[in-house]
Order: sequence, then structure tokens, then C-alpha cells
Amino acid sequence: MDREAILLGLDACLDGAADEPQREALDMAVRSDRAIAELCAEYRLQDALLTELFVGLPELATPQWLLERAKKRARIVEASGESAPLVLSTPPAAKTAAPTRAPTPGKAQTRGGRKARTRGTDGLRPVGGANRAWLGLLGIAAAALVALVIYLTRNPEKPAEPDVVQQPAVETKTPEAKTPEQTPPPKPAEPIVAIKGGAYTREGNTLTTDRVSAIVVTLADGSEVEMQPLTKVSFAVPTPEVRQDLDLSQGLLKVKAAPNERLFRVRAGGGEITVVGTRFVVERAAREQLSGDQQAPARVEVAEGSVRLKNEKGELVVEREQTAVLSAAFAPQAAVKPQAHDLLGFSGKMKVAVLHKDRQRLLVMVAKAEPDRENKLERAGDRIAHKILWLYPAPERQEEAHEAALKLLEEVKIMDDPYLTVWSFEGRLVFVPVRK
Amino acid sequence: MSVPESPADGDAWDRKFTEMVRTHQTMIYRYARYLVHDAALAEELAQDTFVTAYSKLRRESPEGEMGAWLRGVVRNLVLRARTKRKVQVLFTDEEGLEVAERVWARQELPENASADPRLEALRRCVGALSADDKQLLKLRFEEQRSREQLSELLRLSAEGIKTRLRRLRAKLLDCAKRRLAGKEPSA
Repeated sequence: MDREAILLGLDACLDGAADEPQREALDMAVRSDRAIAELCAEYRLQDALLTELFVGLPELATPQWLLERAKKRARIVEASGESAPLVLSTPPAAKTAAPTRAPTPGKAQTRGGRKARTRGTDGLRPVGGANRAWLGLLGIAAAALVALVIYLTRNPEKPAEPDVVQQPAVETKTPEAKTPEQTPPPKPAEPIVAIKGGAYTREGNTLTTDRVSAIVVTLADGSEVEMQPLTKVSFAVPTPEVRQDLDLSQGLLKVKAAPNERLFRVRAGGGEITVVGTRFVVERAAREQLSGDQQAPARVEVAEGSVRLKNEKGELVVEREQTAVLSAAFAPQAAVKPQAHDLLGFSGKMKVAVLHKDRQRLLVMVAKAEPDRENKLERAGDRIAHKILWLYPAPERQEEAHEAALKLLEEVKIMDDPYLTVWSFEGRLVFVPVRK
Repeated sequence: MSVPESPADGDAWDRKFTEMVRTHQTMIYRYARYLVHDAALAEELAQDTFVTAYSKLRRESPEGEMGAWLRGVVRNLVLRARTKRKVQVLFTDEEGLEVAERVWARQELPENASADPRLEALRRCVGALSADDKQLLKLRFEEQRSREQLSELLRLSAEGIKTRLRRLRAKLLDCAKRRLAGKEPSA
């Protein structure tokens, strides 16, 4: 085999033999000389290590999460009466490998608009691509940005006491469940009555969901809080004045609040949100993903009714279909919802989004996308969701930032379907993932 | 390993499983990343490996080293992934994957391979490169620039970039091998 063909084969190897000609070139080189296969493997290993050297390792699933998932799968296999799901020499039936999972409401909300991605042998994965995560993001740039959604639903017909805690699902976890013979009614002082759903960790009254699981927490006043993946919430012990006092470190929540005269409060973004209306959304970044601001701000989007935002610098009542930002750095402020055309572009490898200058504010977000392949866009969306940046360009730097953004955009092509929404505030900008 | 039946045994087994994950997870991800040229897929495979191992290890006791056994699970999953989802994998058959395993196993690794000596050797070799070469690696591996993009950015022909990368890789491979063998890398 001539040298040129060998080099062609090695190039194909290093490019991942991404297309048919490369695959053929590699196969030919490998068939002609097994030593080339070894060399290819050596280079591939080196490339993988170089990537790790430059990018680092992704945030891998926790042992606990893997354990839960493995158990779930084992249960499914046992219930179906099938043999082992995977045997090295005998691949299992596809049916075994694709157990169903009850959709987590939170995920359905956040990613319902996107094509569900097949992940692994059972379609579950704690990332975003990583992907989810990738989370990324996911998981990258290490920790993930998490969003937090709260739906507060007022139902005047509903009695104040919960008739609530529904029949627990298989994964239902209730603190009292361990001692069924003692089952006294929950103490009034305990904010959490029951927890059902996926994997989470609990320290006292602080719950943290893992990278894929959503859980539903039933509170003592009958309210239900659904915590989405990568969400951390502390539930304070109720007081005579405050029936629920939630502190949202990061994440995404949905809450169905039972009607009650006493205060229902959510602390986030250096301030607090009290229930005036019925439904609103809060999103908040993980602290380590912030830039410039010590405390993660929160975006508050009111779907119905109204809410009152308050911090040390002021108050703001946000009405239906309005959005505002809550941050310790400034008084609560109403926001302008950007239009799709504010997002100017994406490229194959880098995602760049810019809020147009003529809409006053601007923010640039860059995230790595997956190499070209099927589901690329879904993956990119997932990954971006975990790589949200919250940037606050100082007024004197905005012009400069805008120029830099335009420069970046020279390389990108325009797409009509953005994967992010951008919210602009006075001098502050927040990117959040699109929620279709 | 006997099959645990009582809850107590189950707890013990769970602890053993989580310990196994802690010990081998990084190595298994790295191995998957080596085989499949796709970080997200590698994460999936790494997860699936442990999920598979959970059930499988309750039924049988693998012979030999646990890490090697887990890598066998990864390879099996790679083959399945290729068949079922037509994902892009570099080594398309069992024979190719065996070659890949041989190359991997050449370097003796500690049981807990989160600190892979190959990685450290490579780190030092990269550290000794010229600023231009480091920049090229950064663009390629950190920013994931394609050859075409590199060509534009560095104002070199695509062929020139290819050649430069090829030489750089060969140089690093040689350097890392020498370091791992305890020899001084050539200048």
C-alpha cells in the first residue's frame, strides 16, 4: 500500500471517518496493514486525551443516579420476565433495551418542543449533552445553569388541607414511609409532607434534584412543588405569618399552591417573590456561572395574575404577561422581551447569539455545539441550556461588547429558529433557553 | 459474588456498586471517548456500561480485573450502538475493537485511573511545545475548529494545516511514549 493511501487512512482515522469516502480510506488502510489500525488507535487515544486536556472531563453522572437508573432498569427487566438486558455475547432484544419512562412533567415543559433524543439503552441520561448537561451542561464549563419555574395556581374551590398526596408512584419517597406503623399526621412545622418522583438528595429540608430527575414535593399547606432537574430548594419551616417560604438556589420549579391567606414566598435572585397572582415563572442561574454579579439574579415571567418582587432596593408588581428581573444588584425591573430576530446567528461549532443593538441591550453567548451528526440541533439546544451565561456589561463596555459581538457574527450564519430567548434589562441581560 | 437476596444484602450490593462507579467511571468515560469520537455518545456509553454492569454482576463474577471487564461491556455497547443507531464509531468490528483494547492496555494503569499517566505525559509534552503549536492545538481541541476554519484563521492552506497537525500529533505521540517509558523526550 502506498504512503499516500496510508496517510489518507490515518487522516480519516483522525477525522473520525465521518463520511463514506473517509470510512473507505480507513478500512482500506487498516485491511492492508494491521499496524495501521494500531497507529490509528494510538492517535485516537491521543486525540481523546488531548481533548480532555483542553476541555476537561464532562460532569459525569453521580453513582447514586446511576444506581437508581440501574435499579429501575432491573425492575423493568424483571417485571417483563425477560432475561438479562445485556449480555456481552448476545445483544438483548430492542424491546428490553428501551423501557418506557414516565415523562417528567418538568422536562416535558422545558423540552417538549424538541425531538426527544434517544439516550443510551433506556433513553435516560442526566445530561444534556449533554448533552443535556451536556448539560451539560448539563456539564461543562462545569456546573449547569438551572432554570426555575414556579406555577402558582389558585383554586378557590379547593379546600385548604391537602387531599393531595396522591398514590405514590413506584419511586415515591415519603419521609414517613419508613415507619408505617407510626404514621401520625405530619407535624405542622414540617414543610415537606411527601416526595415522589426521581432521584434527589435531601439535607434537612433542602432538596436537590439530580441531572435528569424531576420530583414533586407536597407541602404541608397542600401546595405541590415540582422540582425540575438540577434544582435546589430549601423549604423553611412555616410560621404563623408565612405558610411557605422557599429559597431557590438554582433550578426550575412548578408550584401548585393551595389557596391560603397566609404568605407564600419564594426567595430568589437576592429578593423575594410573593404570590399575588396565580402563575409565574422564575429562572435562576447557578452561582458559579455568573459573571460579575455575586448573587444569581432571577427572571420572573408572569403568566397569570401578578406577583410582587421585592428586595432591598425596591419593589415591583409584575402583571400578567410581563417579565422582570430580580437581583440583589438593583431594584426589580421590568424587562423587554426580545424578538426572534434579535438572535442573529449560530454557526456549526460555535453558537453565538446577540441581542441587537437597536434594542438597547446586548449580550453575547457562545457555546460549543456537537460535531455534525443527527440530532445535532437538539443536542446543541440541550447543551446551551446548560451553558447559559448571565452577563452584565457595564454601560461603558456595551459599545465595545457590541463590536465584539458583531465581529463574532461575521463567521456565523443566520438561523430562524433560535434556541435561546434573550431578556434585556436596564444594563443587564440574561439569556435563557427557549421553552416551547 | 453471590446474589444478594435480603434487603441487607441489597444495601451492601448498592454500596459496592457505587464504589465501583467511583473507582472506574472516569476511566470508562475516557475509554468510551477514545472509541467513539463523540463526547455525548461517550457519556451515554459510560452510563450504560454501569447500568448494564449492575444487573450483570449480580448474576456472575467476572474473571480478572474489573476495569478490563467493564471495558468489555463498553465495547459491546459500542457495537450495539453502531448497529442500532448507526452512530459514528471508529472501530467498526470486534477485531478493530480488540486492536483498540490492545493499544489501551499497553499502558498499565492504576485501579483508580482518574489520574491517567498518559494524560500527565501528554500534558508535559504539550507544555514543551512552541506557542504556535499550542495555539493550533487549542484551536483544534478546545475550540473544536475544523481544518477549514483553521485554514482561514491561520492563513494556511487546508493541506498545510493537515500536514502541520499530522506532524504535531506524531511529535506528541513520540514525546508521550518516551515520557511513559521514562526516557527524555527528543527535542
